[in-house]
Amino acid sequence: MNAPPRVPTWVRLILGVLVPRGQREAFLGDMEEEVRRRAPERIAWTREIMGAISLRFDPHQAPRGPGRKEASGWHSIIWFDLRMAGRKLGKSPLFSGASVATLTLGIGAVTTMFSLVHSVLLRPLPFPESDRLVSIFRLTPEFTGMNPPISSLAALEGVPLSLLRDWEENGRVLESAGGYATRTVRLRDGDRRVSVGGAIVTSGVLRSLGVQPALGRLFLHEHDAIGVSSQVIISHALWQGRFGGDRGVLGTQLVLNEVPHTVVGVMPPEMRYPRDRTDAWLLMDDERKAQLSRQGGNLQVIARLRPGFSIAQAQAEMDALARRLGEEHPAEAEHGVLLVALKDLTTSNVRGGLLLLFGAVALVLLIACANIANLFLLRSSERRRELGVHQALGASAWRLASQHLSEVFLLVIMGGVLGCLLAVLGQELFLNLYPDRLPRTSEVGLDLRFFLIAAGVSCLAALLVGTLPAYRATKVSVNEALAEGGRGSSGSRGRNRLLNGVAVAEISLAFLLLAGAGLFVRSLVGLLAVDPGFSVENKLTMTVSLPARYREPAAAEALFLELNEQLASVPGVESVGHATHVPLVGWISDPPTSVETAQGEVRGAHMANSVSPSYFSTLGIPLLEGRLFTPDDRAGGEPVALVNAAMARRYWPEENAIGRRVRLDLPTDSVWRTVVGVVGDVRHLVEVEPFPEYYLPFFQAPGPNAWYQVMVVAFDQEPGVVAPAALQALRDVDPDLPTSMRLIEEGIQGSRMVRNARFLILVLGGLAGLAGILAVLGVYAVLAFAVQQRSHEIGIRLALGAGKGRVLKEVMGRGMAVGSIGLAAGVSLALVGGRAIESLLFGVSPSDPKTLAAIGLLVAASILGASYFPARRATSVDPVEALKGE
Amino acid sequence: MAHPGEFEILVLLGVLRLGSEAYGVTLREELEERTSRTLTLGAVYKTLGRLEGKGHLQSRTGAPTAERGGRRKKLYEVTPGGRAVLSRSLSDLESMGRGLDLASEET
Repeated sequence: MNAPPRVPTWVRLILGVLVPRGQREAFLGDMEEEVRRRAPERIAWTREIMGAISLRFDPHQAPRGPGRKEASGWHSIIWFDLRMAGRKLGKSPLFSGASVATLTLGIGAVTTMFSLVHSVLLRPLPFPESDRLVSIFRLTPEFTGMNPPISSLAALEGVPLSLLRDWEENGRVLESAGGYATRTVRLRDGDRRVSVGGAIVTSGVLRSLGVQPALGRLFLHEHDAIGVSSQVIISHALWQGRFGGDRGVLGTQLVLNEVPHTVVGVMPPEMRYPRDRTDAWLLMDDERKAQLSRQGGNLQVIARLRPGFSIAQAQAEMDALARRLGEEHPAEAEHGVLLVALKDLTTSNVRGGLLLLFGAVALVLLIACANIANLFLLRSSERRRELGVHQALGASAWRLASQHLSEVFLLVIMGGVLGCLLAVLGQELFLNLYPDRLPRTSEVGLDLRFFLIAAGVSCLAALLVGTLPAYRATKVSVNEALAEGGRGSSGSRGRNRLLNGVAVAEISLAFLLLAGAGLFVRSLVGLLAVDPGFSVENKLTMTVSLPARYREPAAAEALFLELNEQLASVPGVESVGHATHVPLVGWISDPPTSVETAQGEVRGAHMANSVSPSYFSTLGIPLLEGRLFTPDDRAGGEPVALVNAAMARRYWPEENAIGRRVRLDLPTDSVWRTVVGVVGDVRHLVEVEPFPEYYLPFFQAPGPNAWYQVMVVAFDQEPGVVAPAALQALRDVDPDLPTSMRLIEEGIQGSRMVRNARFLILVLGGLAGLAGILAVLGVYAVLAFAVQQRSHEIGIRLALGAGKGRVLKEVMGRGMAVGSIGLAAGVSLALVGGRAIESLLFGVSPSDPKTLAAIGLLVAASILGASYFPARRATSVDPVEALKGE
Repeated sequence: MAHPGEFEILVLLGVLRLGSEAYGVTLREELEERTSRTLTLGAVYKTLGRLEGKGHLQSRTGAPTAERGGRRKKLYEVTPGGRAVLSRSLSDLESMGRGLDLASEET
């Protein structure tokens, strides 16, 4: 049996507040009856609520029954004030509407950002005693002994398994430690292969995090030894989705990357580490364990500090350990160690942007509040007589202030409720617009904290809006207010000063936001204009991960010769090459390298790019000296290498690089290679200067990542035509070759800094525009008020023959005076505050004079425009009208 | 004495028609059906409140029922004063409209 329909709770609550007490019970009862008579979905609740509002504020209602008393206790005074306030606001719908709209935007935006900042940056990670969790990095020799920022790609290296073992055994401050690498793993599902997010881990990772499995067990320490059978722990989502939450899943086999793994555990649903979508935690296979033990391994390390150690203490301990290890293993001697709190690491990429936007919305809220306070001040001037009369009749200053505050209170309540709704949408919108996956978004949500934040923000807004007008209201002098006109008195001068001050503050804050938006525009322009060192147009890349059957050099060579040939025969293709690292779409690695210099042998770590002979012509990378690779540079020939200009500058600054030697220090490849040519620098990341890089001939030395190559195809037709044909050509060679395609141009658009800049321009630009409009309105209001106040004086002057141009100039001059002070304050703020966004900018200084000047001009022009209209009105004052008051 | 407005006249008539069953829900239904307009309960209550304030209507409290969530009805009836005002308004309307042909375009 269906329960009878009822009035929704929210409607009942709203109606309960709105409908006057005498009619409330009957009204709500009628509503319940209505719902049962008609279907609830046929009732337009918003209309009903509007009807109730008109009932609430109807001035002609019957006086209430005998139970009603006149306002006496403090609560009835407040109630009385609120009803008065409601009526007053109802009488000036434009003012009320504009104020509520402004507050809604301000409160909504700040609530959105603050709840995001809170969830993402402030809340502890969802692990027990998460403040003890750290990430540990190995520093490249260049940065050893320094404290590089964690965003510095050049400084941080992955950790080899052997070093992790040393840390685990000797790190006195580490309770436990583990290493992992994130990989997409292919899960066999019947005949299909599904890609799932995977993490290849040592047992210490899960132990350090302190997670408890929902089912089964974690990996054990002894599983890290070589020769242990393959095991996997799966996510709660995968367990539910694929096994329907069957508890018998433990001990069953999952085929991952073509290898059967035994399921030994299921994670709890909230476990989302290392990535938001991780579905499988795998132990390393023996091959990987052996690979990672060597130099140049690439594990991320997470550790749990023993209780009582601060990060700084732990850092000192680990530094000492690094020195001791350096004595035992000279290869490690040059590397330092860096500890970073896990929370800072997960949020380091977004911290700057989030705080910036939070600052921006806070400024917008400030400006919005200033504007409403301004409007209240203006209104209170219009109502001076009324206030004076109240005071003369014995109303205390407190009562006058309380009446004012009631109006503010009503507005803020409405703004707060609507702002809260806006923030719910705002969060969704923000997360959708945000260019990367914001970390920890799974922890973002609507909970009690969210509403507390909204309430807190609203209270703040009420304080900001209410204080000044309430204060002014208590300062009304009876005599002045009741005197005819009341203009030119000290009270109104004080009020003018207050209004001017508010306008100045608005202009400076708006300038700050606009300048910020302007800087990001410059930054984006700079990023898009970067010369990557080769031509990016019409270049398609296809990543090829070699299955095990191609790991033999001869098999790989045959495959790539075939691929080159097939792709070259695709219509529209001009040239084909391949490389391990293709700029802008690839990744970065820097294996240990030895270089022969005038001062002897120097060890470093540099990108070793294993490429085909045609790679340079395909991308259009220029040859600066010597020769390129030829098809004859193959196994058995003389070991050769090419270096880029940056590498030549670093090691052979004043001499010829050709004939010098470089060596890749890997167990699989450690022969000295002669440099036969120097090629131009390319940018691997849009925002990073080219770094030293050397090239190996793929058919002679597949390099440290022989299992991976990226095909590059230069073409001269529509990408939409070439791409499918190229994919088909690849499939013709081997239908099972895993691959992914991308245009290099997308690599620029898709780079994090470009996407961030676009996003910040969009959001910050919107906020800045809003702030600008509010500030201009503020200036307009101040001038319009001044003109109205002085219309009497202006009238006399016009009657006495003062020129209209003079009056115009005077009023506009006043606007420009307010504007200049505001601009000066804004520029100072920008110069001081700009440093906060320095790291988010590219190729432009936060105090860039051109940008600041351009924004300054824009603001000045807007203020000029805002001053013109009140000034025009001043010149059209009719002297006769103005003098009538005398 | 203030003359009732059009909607006030309609509500007074509605209360008369409904007799002892005149309250929010029935009044709204009656008015919506007979005048083919859409009303909110709030609008009906506003007018009821005004008419009560002017003394044209008086109200009494009914018994609580389950289908109203245990809330009591407020039942209305027209006071003698209300009847007098109403009949005067109606006869005013009638006398002003008498002899006019509102259906054709030329009046």
